[in-house]
Amino acid sequence: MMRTEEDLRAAFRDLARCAPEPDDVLRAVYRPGRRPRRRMWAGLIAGAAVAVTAAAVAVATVPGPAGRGGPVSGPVLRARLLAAIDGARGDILSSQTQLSGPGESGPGSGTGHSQTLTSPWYPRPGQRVRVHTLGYGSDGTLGKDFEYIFTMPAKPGASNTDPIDATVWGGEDLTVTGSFLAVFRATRTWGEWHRLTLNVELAADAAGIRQAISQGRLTVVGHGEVDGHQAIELGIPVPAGTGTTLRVTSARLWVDAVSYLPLRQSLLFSDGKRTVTDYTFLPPTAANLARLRPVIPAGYQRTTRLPGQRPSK
Amino acid sequence: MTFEEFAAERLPALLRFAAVLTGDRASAEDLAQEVLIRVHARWPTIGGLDRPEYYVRKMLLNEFLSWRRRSWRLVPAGRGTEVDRRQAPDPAASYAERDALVTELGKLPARQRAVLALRYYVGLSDTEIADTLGCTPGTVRGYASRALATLRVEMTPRPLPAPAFSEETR
Repeated sequence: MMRTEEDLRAAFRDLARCAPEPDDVLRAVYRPGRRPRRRMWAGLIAGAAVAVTAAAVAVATVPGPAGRGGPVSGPVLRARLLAAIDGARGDILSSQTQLSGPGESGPGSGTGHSQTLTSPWYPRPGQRVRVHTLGYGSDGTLGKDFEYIFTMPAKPGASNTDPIDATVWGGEDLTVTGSFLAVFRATRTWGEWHRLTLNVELAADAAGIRQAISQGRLTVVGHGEVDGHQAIELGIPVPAGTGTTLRVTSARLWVDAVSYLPLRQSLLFSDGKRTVTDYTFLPPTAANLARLRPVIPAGYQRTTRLPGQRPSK
Repeated sequence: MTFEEFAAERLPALLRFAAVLTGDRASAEDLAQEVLIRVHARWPTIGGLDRPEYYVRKMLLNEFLSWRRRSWRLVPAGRGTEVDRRQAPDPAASYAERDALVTELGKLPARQRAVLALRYYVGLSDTEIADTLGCTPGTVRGYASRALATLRVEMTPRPLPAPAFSEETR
């Protein structure tokens, strides 16, 4: 059946009705540092994407004893990193990301921070994956509270075309079908949807990790302390970018010198800002698994409208 | 005109345009934030223009066309409409058809979508669109023709209605 131009105009009018609120947009404009919210969201993906990238990084080859004075290097370190990841494969990864840098004067002043719980940290194909993302505003209040549940596909997704992720991690996108539960604090509503198509920035499949190892992309940069833990600092070479496209110019991963699990990741961007993500591994106990589910406060109304979905007639 | 006055008077219409371009609220908000931050920083210059809203609209358009389409976010890519319909059937068949049209719009190449938005939402002529996009009217017609064919939209000879965007911004 052919459509008319009037159908098209009506569709555009529909879309226009889902315009954002001016105050929501202006908040970013007037805020110190004036950082687009999109970069806040870049932090929000930390649990999925960063957890995964950490996994890929941590197991990559550390070439020989070239590190600066490290007690463990080369094949030994590689083996220990691999063993640590395999051992923690079923754990819940808690990651917390904070943005800092020019225009961001630290916690509480900029775009807030995000926390993500991913279970299991390193899923096998066919395994059910749960990701709980919490986004906190600059005043510390909880704004985003989402849970994603999907089955890890057997095959990797399409190649990651994002200039940042692709150049640094070589990760892959996953397009999966899953469930989405969201609590919208601003509107005091919540919703749950099933069989949604989800774009998930997970790359922690065995093949990807093996590939990262074979590529030998990591070097030992040094040793130090991260939050009281003795840590090995690993550097990842990033290609020199051109133009004004936002990109990662330096990437570091710290792994615990005892457990060999990731402790912290730092990404320096071409605009001088930095994201630092701290990792904690939690055993999959009943109490910890319960943390994967957003809490729906009493009195919240259920909604059927997804974020970004235009209002129903 | 101060930036605040500009925002109070013109921003709602610009945000509607952003929503038309991107197809959803969250992306529109991101797009608008990216642009508005730059507008605010350059307001002494932009605010002195004869029609700053046209300039900002063009900035939105350019940002949209150059935007990395891949989302950084872990968000549902689908609209969930199938689920919604399954849980609460939508009795309005015409709405379902329009929903399908919106979905297909979202699959168009960015430039084709932009041309349609400028022609059918803003109400610009092909010459004006060409001027905005920095191409020839023939190129605009080519984009529009391909997009309309993809969407199975039949051209009608009647004149365009009053442009929604222009009304709102004047």
